[in-house]
Amino acid sequence: MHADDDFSDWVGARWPRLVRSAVLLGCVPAEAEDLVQTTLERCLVNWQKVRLAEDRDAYVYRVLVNAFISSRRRRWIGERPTAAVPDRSGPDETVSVDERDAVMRALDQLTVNQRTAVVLRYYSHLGEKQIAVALGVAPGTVKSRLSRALKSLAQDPDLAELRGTS
Amino acid sequence: MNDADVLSELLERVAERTKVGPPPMTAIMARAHRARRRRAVMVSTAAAVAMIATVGGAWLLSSLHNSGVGTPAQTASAVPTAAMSTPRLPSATASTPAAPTNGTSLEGDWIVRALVGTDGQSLLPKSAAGRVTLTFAHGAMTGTTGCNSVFGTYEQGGAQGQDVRFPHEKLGSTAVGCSEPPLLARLLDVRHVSGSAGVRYLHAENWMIVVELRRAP
Repeated sequence: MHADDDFSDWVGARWPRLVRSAVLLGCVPAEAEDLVQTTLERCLVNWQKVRLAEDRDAYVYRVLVNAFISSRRRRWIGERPTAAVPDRSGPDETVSVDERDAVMRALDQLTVNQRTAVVLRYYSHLGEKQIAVALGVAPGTVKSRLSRALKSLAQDPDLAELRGTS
Repeated sequence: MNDADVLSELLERVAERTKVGPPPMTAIMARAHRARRRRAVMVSTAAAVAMIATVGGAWLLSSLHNSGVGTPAQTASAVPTAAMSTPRLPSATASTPAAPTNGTSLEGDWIVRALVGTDGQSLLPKSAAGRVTLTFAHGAMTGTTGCNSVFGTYEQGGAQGQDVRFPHEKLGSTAVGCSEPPLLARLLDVRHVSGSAGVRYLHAENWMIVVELRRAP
Protein backbone atom coordinates (compact mmCIF):
# COMPACT_ATOMS: atom_id res chain seq x y z
CA MET A 1 0.00 0.00 0.00
CA HIS A 2 1.29 3.47 -0.81
CA ALA A 3 2.46 5.43 2.22
CA ASP A 4 -0.03 8.26 1.60
CA ASP A 5 -2.94 5.81 1.31
CA ASP A 6 -1.87 4.10 4.51
CA PHE A 7 -1.67 7.50 6.19
CA SER A 8 -5.08 8.57 4.87
CA ASP A 9 -6.76 5.46 6.18
CA TRP A 10 -5.13 5.84 9.55
CA VAL A 11 -6.08 9.52 9.83
CA GLY A 12 -9.65 8.86 8.69
CA ALA A 13 -10.14 6.43 11.56
CA ARG A 14 -8.60 8.61 14.28
CA TRP A 15 -9.19 12.22 13.29
CA PRO A 16 -12.33 12.85 15.44
CA ARG A 17 -10.84 11.31 18.58
CA LEU A 18 -7.57 13.19 18.14
CA VAL A 19 -9.39 16.52 17.76
CA ARG A 20 -11.65 15.85 20.75
CA SER A 21 -8.64 14.79 22.82
CA ALA A 22 -7.08 18.16 22.02
CA VAL A 23 -10.32 19.87 23.11
CA LEU A 24 -10.27 18.01 26.42
CA LEU A 25 -6.65 19.02 26.86
CA GLY A 26 -7.86 22.63 26.82
CA CYS A 27 -8.00 23.78 23.21
CA VAL A 28 -10.95 25.53 21.61
CA PRO A 29 -12.28 23.45 18.67
CA ALA A 30 -10.63 25.50 15.91
CA GLU A 31 -7.34 25.46 17.75
CA ALA A 32 -7.73 21.71 18.36
CA GLU A 33 -8.13 21.04 14.63
CA ASP A 34 -5.08 23.15 13.87
CA LEU A 35 -3.09 21.35 16.54
CA VAL A 36 -4.03 17.94 15.17
CA GLN A 37 -3.21 19.09 11.63
CA THR A 38 0.24 20.12 12.84
CA THR A 39 0.60 16.77 14.59
CA LEU A 40 -0.41 14.79 11.51
CA GLU A 41 1.83 16.89 9.27
CA ARG A 42 4.81 16.01 11.47
CA CYS A 43 3.78 12.37 11.47
CA LEU A 44 3.42 12.29 7.67
CA VAL A 45 6.87 13.83 7.17
CA ASN A 46 8.27 10.98 9.26
CA TRP A 47 5.66 8.41 8.31
CA GLN A 48 8.16 5.60 7.82
CA LYS A 49 9.32 6.10 11.39
CA VAL A 50 5.72 6.23 12.63
CA ARG A 51 4.83 3.03 10.76
CA LEU A 52 7.75 1.19 12.28
CA ALA A 53 7.10 2.51 15.78
CA GLU A 54 6.39 -0.18 18.35
CA ASP A 55 3.13 1.54 19.26
CA ARG A 56 1.89 3.85 16.54
CA ASP A 57 -0.92 5.40 18.60
CA ALA A 58 1.40 6.17 21.49
CA TYR A 59 3.85 7.76 19.06
CA VAL A 60 1.20 9.99 17.50
CA TYR A 61 -0.21 11.03 20.87
CA ARG A 62 3.32 11.88 21.94
CA VAL A 63 3.61 14.24 18.96
CA LEU A 64 0.19 15.68 19.81
CA VAL A 65 1.07 16.31 23.46
CA ASN A 66 4.40 17.90 22.48
CA ALA A 67 2.66 20.16 19.97
CA PHE A 68 0.07 21.10 22.60
CA ILE A 69 2.73 21.94 25.19
CA SER A 70 4.65 23.97 22.59
CA SER A 71 1.51 25.91 21.67
CA ARG A 72 0.97 26.73 25.35
CA ARG A 73 4.48 28.13 25.60
CA ARG A 74 3.62 30.94 23.22
CA ARG A 75 3.45 34.33 24.86
CA TRP A 76 -0.16 35.07 24.21
CA ILE A 77 -2.97 32.72 23.18
CA GLY A 78 -6.01 34.59 24.44
CA GLU A 79 -8.21 36.38 21.96
CA ARG A 80 -8.84 34.81 18.58
CA PRO A 81 -10.31 36.83 15.71
CA THR A 82 -13.33 35.33 13.95
CA ALA A 83 -15.29 36.30 10.85
CA ALA A 84 -18.65 35.45 12.37
CA VAL A 85 -19.77 36.17 15.91
CA PRO A 86 -20.60 32.82 17.53
CA ASP A 87 -23.70 34.16 19.31
CA ARG A 88 -26.90 32.72 17.88
CA SER A 89 -30.37 31.80 19.10
CA GLY A 90 -31.42 28.20 19.48
CA PRO A 91 -32.86 25.61 21.80
CA ASP A 92 -32.07 25.73 25.47
CA GLU A 93 -28.84 23.80 25.89
CA THR A 94 -28.34 24.83 29.47
CA VAL A 95 -28.19 21.27 30.77
CA SER A 96 -25.53 20.11 28.33
CA VAL A 97 -23.61 23.35 28.76
CA ASP A 98 -23.71 22.85 32.50
CA GLU A 99 -22.32 19.34 32.15
CA ARG A 100 -19.57 20.42 29.74
CA ASP A 101 -18.76 23.42 31.86
CA ALA A 102 -18.53 21.33 35.01
CA VAL A 103 -16.25 18.76 33.40
CA MET A 104 -13.99 21.36 31.80
CA ARG A 105 -13.73 23.37 35.00
CA ALA A 106 -12.86 20.20 36.90
CA LEU A 107 -10.16 19.40 34.33
CA ASP A 108 -8.88 22.97 34.56
CA GLN A 109 -8.13 22.40 38.24
CA LEU A 110 -5.67 19.62 37.39
CA THR A 111 -2.05 20.25 36.49
CA VAL A 112 -1.17 19.97 32.81
CA ASN A 113 0.55 16.64 33.42
CA GLN A 114 -2.38 15.22 35.36
CA ARG A 115 -4.92 16.48 32.82
CA THR A 116 -2.95 14.99 29.93
CA ALA A 117 -2.74 11.64 31.69
CA VAL A 118 -6.49 11.67 32.43
CA VAL A 119 -7.45 12.53 28.84
CA LEU A 120 -5.13 9.91 27.34
CA ARG A 121 -6.30 7.24 29.80
CA TYR A 122 -10.04 7.85 30.08
CA TYR A 123 -10.88 9.37 26.73
CA SER A 124 -8.22 8.17 24.29
CA HIS A 125 -8.18 4.82 26.12
CA LEU A 126 -4.44 4.36 26.00
CA GLY A 127 -2.89 1.89 28.41
CA GLU A 128 -0.55 3.05 31.12
CA LYS A 129 2.49 1.86 29.18
CA GLN A 130 1.28 3.70 26.06
CA ILE A 131 0.76 6.86 28.10
CA ALA A 132 4.24 6.47 29.54
CA VAL A 133 5.62 6.31 25.98
CA ALA A 134 3.48 9.25 24.88
CA LEU A 135 4.56 11.43 27.80
CA GLY A 136 8.14 10.19 27.92
CA VAL A 137 7.88 9.19 31.60
CA ALA A 138 7.98 5.95 33.59
CA PRO A 139 4.77 3.89 33.94
CA GLY A 140 4.92 4.46 37.70
CA THR A 141 4.80 8.20 37.11
CA VAL A 142 1.67 7.75 35.00
CA LYS A 143 0.03 5.77 37.79
CA SER A 144 0.81 8.39 40.40
CA ARG A 145 -0.42 11.21 38.14
CA LEU A 146 -3.69 9.37 37.48
CA SER A 147 -4.13 8.57 41.15
CA ARG A 148 -3.66 12.17 42.21
CA ALA A 149 -5.90 13.40 39.39
CA LEU A 150 -8.73 11.03 40.33
CA LYS A 151 -8.44 12.04 43.96
CA SER A 152 -8.68 15.69 42.97
CA LEU A 153 -11.65 15.09 40.65
CA ALA A 154 -13.44 13.08 43.34
CA GLN A 155 -13.40 16.17 45.56
CA ASP A 156 -14.96 18.39 42.90
CA PRO A 157 -18.56 19.13 44.02
CA ASP A 158 -19.91 19.75 40.50
CA LEU A 159 -18.58 16.45 39.22
CA ALA A 160 -19.93 14.74 42.29
CA GLU A 161 -23.35 16.13 41.45
CA LEU A 162 -23.06 14.88 37.85
CA ARG A 163 -22.09 11.44 39.13
CA GLY A 164 -25.07 11.58 41.49
CA THR A 165 -22.94 10.98 44.56
CA SER A 166 -23.65 14.21 46.38
CA MET B 1 -19.65 1.37 37.96
CA ASN B 2 -16.52 2.87 39.50
CA ASP B 3 -15.21 6.43 39.38
CA ALA B 4 -12.95 5.72 36.42
CA ASP B 5 -15.84 4.38 34.33
CA VAL B 6 -18.04 7.34 35.27
CA LEU B 7 -15.25 9.75 34.37
CA SER B 8 -14.68 7.99 31.08
CA GLU B 9 -18.38 8.23 30.25
CA LEU B 10 -18.49 11.92 31.18
CA LEU B 11 -15.49 12.70 29.02
CA GLU B 12 -17.06 10.81 26.11
CA ARG B 13 -20.31 12.78 26.45
CA VAL B 14 -18.55 16.13 26.72
CA ALA B 15 -16.22 15.39 23.83
CA GLU B 16 -19.07 14.22 21.60
CA ARG B 17 -20.53 17.74 21.78
CA THR B 18 -17.58 19.03 19.81
CA LYS B 19 -18.57 18.90 16.15
CA VAL B 20 -15.73 17.57 14.08
CA GLY B 21 -15.69 17.69 10.29
CA PRO B 22 -13.81 15.35 7.99
CA PRO B 23 -10.02 15.47 8.16
CA PRO B 24 -8.55 18.07 5.76
CA MET B 25 -6.29 15.54 4.05
CA THR B 26 -5.32 17.83 1.18
CA ALA B 27 -4.15 20.56 3.54
CA ILE B 28 -2.24 18.12 5.73
CA MET B 29 -0.53 16.53 2.70
CA ALA B 30 0.36 19.93 1.26
CA ARG B 31 1.83 21.11 4.56
CA ALA B 32 3.81 17.88 4.90
CA HIS B 33 5.18 18.21 1.38
CA ARG B 34 6.24 21.79 2.09
CA ALA B 35 7.95 20.61 5.28
CA ARG B 36 9.75 17.88 3.33
CA ARG B 37 10.96 20.41 0.77
CA ARG B 38 12.17 22.73 3.53
CA ARG B 39 14.03 19.86 5.15
CA ALA B 40 15.58 18.82 1.83
CA VAL B 41 16.77 22.38 1.23
CA MET B 42 18.26 22.56 4.73
CA VAL B 43 20.04 19.23 4.30
CA SER B 44 21.40 20.30 0.89
CA THR B 45 22.58 23.62 2.29
CA ALA B 46 24.26 21.94 5.23
CA ALA B 47 25.98 19.46 2.90
CA ALA B 48 27.18 22.28 0.65
CA VAL B 49 28.55 24.24 3.61
CA ALA B 50 30.32 21.14 4.92
CA MET B 51 31.83 20.45 1.50
CA ILE B 52 33.02 24.06 1.09
CA ALA B 53 34.55 23.95 4.58
CA THR B 54 36.30 20.66 3.82
CA VAL B 55 37.66 21.79 0.46
CA GLY B 56 38.67 25.17 1.88
CA GLY B 57 40.42 23.55 4.83
CA ALA B 58 42.26 21.12 2.54
CA TRP B 59 43.31 23.99 0.27
CA LEU B 60 44.55 26.00 3.26
CA LEU B 61 46.56 23.08 4.60
CA SER B 62 47.97 22.44 1.15
CA SER B 63 48.95 26.10 0.83
CA LEU B 64 50.68 26.07 4.20
CA HIS B 65 52.47 22.83 3.33
CA ASN B 66 53.70 24.14 -0.02
CA SER B 67 54.93 27.34 1.56
CA GLY B 68 57.28 25.33 3.75
CA VAL B 69 55.49 25.10 7.05
CA GLY B 70 56.61 21.54 7.63
CA THR B 71 57.60 21.42 11.27
CA PRO B 72 56.01 22.72 14.40
CA ALA B 73 59.22 24.55 15.27
CA GLN B 74 59.12 26.71 12.17
CA THR B 75 57.99 30.31 12.42
CA ALA B 76 56.64 32.27 9.52
CA SER B 77 59.10 35.07 10.12
CA ALA B 78 62.00 32.67 9.61
CA VAL B 79 61.28 32.29 5.90
CA PRO B 80 61.87 35.36 3.73
CA THR B 81 58.61 36.11 1.96
CA ALA B 82 60.26 37.69 -1.04
CA ALA B 83 62.42 34.64 -1.55
CA MET B 84 59.40 32.34 -1.36
CA SER B 85 57.64 34.18 -4.13
CA THR B 86 60.70 34.12 -6.39
CA PRO B 87 60.21 31.27 -8.83
CA ARG B 88 63.87 30.69 -9.55
CA LEU B 89 66.86 31.57 -7.48
CA PRO B 90 70.42 31.88 -8.75
CA SER B 91 72.42 28.73 -8.15
CA ALA B 92 75.24 28.66 -5.64
CA THR B 93 77.86 28.70 -8.36
CA ALA B 94 76.24 30.91 -10.98
CA SER B 95 76.90 34.28 -9.45
CA THR B 96 79.59 35.89 -7.40
CA PRO B 97 79.17 34.59 -3.89
CA ALA B 98 78.38 37.17 -1.29
CA ALA B 99 79.48 36.98 2.28
CA PRO B 100 76.76 35.28 4.33
CA THR B 101 74.77 37.67 6.47
CA ASN B 102 74.15 37.09 10.15
CA GLY B 103 70.88 35.34 9.32
CA THR B 104 72.43 32.84 6.92
CA SER B 105 75.98 32.25 8.19
CA LEU B 106 76.51 28.61 9.13
CA GLU B 107 79.86 29.08 10.79
CA GLY B 108 80.02 27.50 14.24
CA ASP B 109 78.64 24.59 16.23
CA TRP B 110 74.98 23.61 15.88
CA ILE B 111 72.56 21.15 17.42
CA VAL B 112 70.09 19.55 15.00
CA ARG B 113 66.69 20.25 16.53
CA ALA B 114 64.59 18.90 13.67
CA LEU B 115 65.13 16.70 10.64
CA VAL B 116 62.22 16.53 8.21
CA GLY B 117 61.59 13.86 5.57
CA THR B 118 60.27 14.49 2.07
CA ASP B 119 56.79 13.61 3.33
CA GLY B 120 56.95 16.33 6.00
CA GLN B 121 57.29 13.84 8.85
CA SER B 122 59.99 14.18 11.52
CA LEU B 123 62.95 11.83 11.09
CA LEU B 124 64.54 12.71 14.41
CA PRO B 125 63.48 10.40 17.26
CA LYS B 126 63.09 11.89 20.72
CA SER B 127 65.90 9.64 21.94
CA ALA B 128 68.29 11.49 19.58
CA ALA B 129 67.33 14.95 20.82
CA GLY B 130 70.46 17.01 21.50
CA ARG B 131 72.82 14.25 20.31
CA VAL B 132 72.84 15.11 16.61
CA THR B 133 75.27 17.96 15.93
CA LEU B 134 76.91 19.74 13.00
CA THR B 135 79.89 22.05 12.88
CA PHE B 136 80.64 24.37 9.96
CA ALA B 137 84.01 26.04 9.53
CA HIS B 138 85.51 27.56 6.38
CA GLY B 139 83.60 25.33 3.95
CA ALA B 140 84.11 22.13 5.96
CA MET B 141 81.32 20.30 7.72
CA THR B 142 81.69 17.75 10.54
CA GLY B 143 79.19 16.32 12.93
CA THR B 144 77.65 13.30 14.51
CA THR B 145 74.37 11.46 14.22
CA GLY B 146 74.65 10.29 17.79
CA CYS B 147 76.19 7.05 16.50
CA ASN B 148 78.40 7.77 13.51
CA SER B 149 80.55 10.78 12.67
CA VAL B 150 79.72 12.63 9.48
CA PHE B 151 81.93 14.92 7.43
CA GLY B 152 82.04 16.74 4.13
CA THR B 153 82.06 20.19 2.59
CA TYR B 154 79.44 22.81 1.87
CA GLU B 155 79.15 25.64 -0.62
CA GLN B 156 77.32 28.81 0.28
CA GLY B 157 76.48 31.62 -2.11
CA GLY B 158 73.67 33.74 -3.53
CA ALA B 159 72.99 37.43 -3.13
CA GLN B 160 72.41 37.18 0.62
CA GLY B 161 74.28 33.93 1.12
CA GLN B 162 70.98 32.13 1.22
CA ASP B 163 71.97 29.38 -1.20
CA VAL B 164 73.77 26.39 0.22
CA ARG B 165 74.46 22.86 -0.91
CA PHE B 166 76.38 19.83 0.27
CA PRO B 167 78.20 18.16 -2.65
CA HIS B 168 77.41 14.46 -2.73
CA GLU B 169 80.93 13.36 -3.61
CA LYS B 170 82.40 15.09 -0.54
CA LEU B 171 80.00 13.68 2.05
CA GLY B 172 80.93 10.66 4.14
CA SER B 173 80.55 9.03 7.54
CA THR B 174 81.92 6.33 9.76
CA ALA B 175 80.15 3.01 9.44
CA VAL B 176 79.18 1.74 12.86
CA GLY B 177 76.07 -0.37 12.43
CA CYS B 178 73.28 1.29 14.41
CA SER B 179 69.93 2.94 14.03
CA GLU B 180 70.38 6.61 13.28
CA PRO B 181 68.52 9.45 11.55
CA PRO B 182 69.33 9.77 7.81
CA LEU B 183 71.17 13.05 8.25
CA LEU B 184 73.46 12.85 5.20
CA ALA B 185 70.68 11.74 2.88
CA ARG B 186 68.62 14.76 3.83
CA LEU B 187 71.55 17.19 3.61
CA LEU B 188 71.82 16.26 -0.07
CA ASP B 189 68.44 17.91 -0.66
CA VAL B 190 69.43 21.20 1.00
CA ARG B 191 69.54 24.23 -1.33
CA HIS B 192 68.79 27.26 0.87
CA VAL B 193 69.42 28.58 4.35
CA SER B 194 67.51 31.14 6.41
CA GLY B 195 67.35 32.02 10.05
CA SER B 196 67.67 34.50 12.85
CA ALA B 197 69.73 34.83 16.00
CA GLY B 198 70.76 31.37 17.18
CA VAL B 199 68.53 29.51 14.71
CA ARG B 200 69.12 28.33 11.14
CA TYR B 201 66.80 26.54 8.77
CA LEU B 202 68.15 24.48 5.90
CA HIS B 203 65.58 24.35 3.08
CA ALA B 204 65.01 22.16 0.06
CA GLU B 205 64.65 23.64 -3.44
CA ASN B 206 60.96 24.47 -2.77
CA TRP B 207 61.85 26.13 0.55
CA MET B 208 60.43 23.30 2.58
CA ILE B 209 62.37 23.00 5.84
CA VAL B 210 64.77 20.03 5.91
CA VAL B 211 66.85 20.77 9.02
CA GLU B 212 66.43 23.12 11.97
CA LEU B 213 69.66 24.06 13.73
CA ARG B 214 70.11 25.72 17.11
CA ARG B 215 73.40 27.29 18.10
CA ALA B 216 75.23 24.94 20.48
CA PRO B 217 75.82 26.45 23.93
